[in-house]
Amino acid sequence: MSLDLAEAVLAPADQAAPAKETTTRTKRSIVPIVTALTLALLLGAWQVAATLKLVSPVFLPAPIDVAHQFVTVARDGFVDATLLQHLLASLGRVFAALLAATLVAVPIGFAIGSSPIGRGIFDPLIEILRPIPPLAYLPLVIIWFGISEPSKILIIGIAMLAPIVIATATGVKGVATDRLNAARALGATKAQLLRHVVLPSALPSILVGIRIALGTGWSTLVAAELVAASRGLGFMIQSAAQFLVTDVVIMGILVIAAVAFAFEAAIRLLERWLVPWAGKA
Amino acid sequence: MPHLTLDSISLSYDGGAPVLANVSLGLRSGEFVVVVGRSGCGKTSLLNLAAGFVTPTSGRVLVDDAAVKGPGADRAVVFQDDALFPWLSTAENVAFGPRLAGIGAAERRRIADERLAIVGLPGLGDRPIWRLSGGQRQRVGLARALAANPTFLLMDEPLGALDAMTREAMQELLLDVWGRTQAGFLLITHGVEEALFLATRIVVMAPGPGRIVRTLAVDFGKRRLAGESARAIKASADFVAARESLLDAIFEREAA
Repeated sequence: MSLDLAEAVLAPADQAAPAKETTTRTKRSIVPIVTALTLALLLGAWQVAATLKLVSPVFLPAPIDVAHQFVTVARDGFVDATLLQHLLASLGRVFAALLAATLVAVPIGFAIGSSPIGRGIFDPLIEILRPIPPLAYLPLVIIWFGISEPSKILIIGIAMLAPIVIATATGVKGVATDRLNAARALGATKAQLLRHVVLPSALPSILVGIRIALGTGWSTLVAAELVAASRGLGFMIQSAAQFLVTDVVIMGILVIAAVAFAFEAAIRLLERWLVPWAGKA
Repeated sequence: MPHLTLDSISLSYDGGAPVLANVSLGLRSGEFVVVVGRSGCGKTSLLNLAAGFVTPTSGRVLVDDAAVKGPGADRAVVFQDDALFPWLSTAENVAFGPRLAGIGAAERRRIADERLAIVGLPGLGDRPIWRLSGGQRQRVGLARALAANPTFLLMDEPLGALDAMTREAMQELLLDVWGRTQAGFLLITHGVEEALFLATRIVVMAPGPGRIVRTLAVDFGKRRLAGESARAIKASADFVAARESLLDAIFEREAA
């Protein structure tokens, strides 16, 4: 997009506008074709390398074997659970963590965004927490809370906290003064301002925070499932790696990537449904 | 008769240079007071004081002899950038005040439809506001203010961002609405003709620090409501003369 814009700006002035539009459109419609070709080429190279045994199958199983494992694990399972059960275990953890993180982070974000005292208390805490990688606090969480299910949810939840807090605070701070004044001049109390003006104004920003948090939480999953899990995609990959079942490892990685992609698409749909006005007014 | 009074107001923000110095201004119901002046003369601060958004450094803001403690539904405000709520439909925006007051959905809808008809947007209640034009949105802002049945209607350059054609139509609408209600209107504007055409009283302010330098009574709006055409009024000799004297007042210090 930005490249197209640059071209449009740099294009010679005498060039006819309709012709320029056509070229831009052609260039844009080429993108998915190039993407598809790239993926097909990579897949082909991978299959060729595997067929010619250029690399040992322990390191690089053929794509067809990975696909086969997908069907096998989906049907018969791997380490006592089917693919769906592993997937549901992971999704359950991530969404439990998201729920908990949202319930904690949104009020904190409101506090930071709307009061100097709130900012004084929470801003430094969040700034300290934000850059710590989950693997660093994982041992501490185990020492404090053991290796039960809540510990795993906690690890993912901590990683989700900062993005939602920061996005919420930004949204709350960004509420237009005129909008607040308009509501006050119509008789809004403080509570009504929060409920009817600040919350809806900040909602697009909160959703952005949730989208980022979901990505962060999902990538924390494997770390969380290092801790005495018996189910989950991260656990499945680690078990497979211990037995050098590389095709299951690769299959698991691809499933994790696909789910992350689906999250992104789902939140975008949610945004279109919940805040269709965002960016328009 | 309800009256809004600014009594010997001075205002400075955070101990800075005074924005307003010893300003007094009254607004009674049925009046249409228009404040004009160059940029930086404190017009908007004056309106924010009347609305209760800011408190004066010294002096008093009164409604019927009671001190104003903050914003209230008796003083509705129309903003330059409409300040509508994009997550609500047009009707829900208009009925926002009644909703805060706890009025039921059916009655809110009736109020919204009625006010939308007054501002010339009948049947647009279900439209999302981001599908409205700039002029339409400004009308919705006006309808929202009217739905609160305000005693005073305060408008901060509501027509400033509109194109010339839309602005003329909106001026006629404001006169029409003013003629229908008992409310006292206070309008801030840069437009000299706008001030003359709408006001019953024009207040001229000057900057450095902001103060009132001249007050003049006019009746062109009443002539319009009596049936004379806007073009005939604006072309008439007394309108042109009044415009010259108003311009002199606004640029007094430069002329001197």
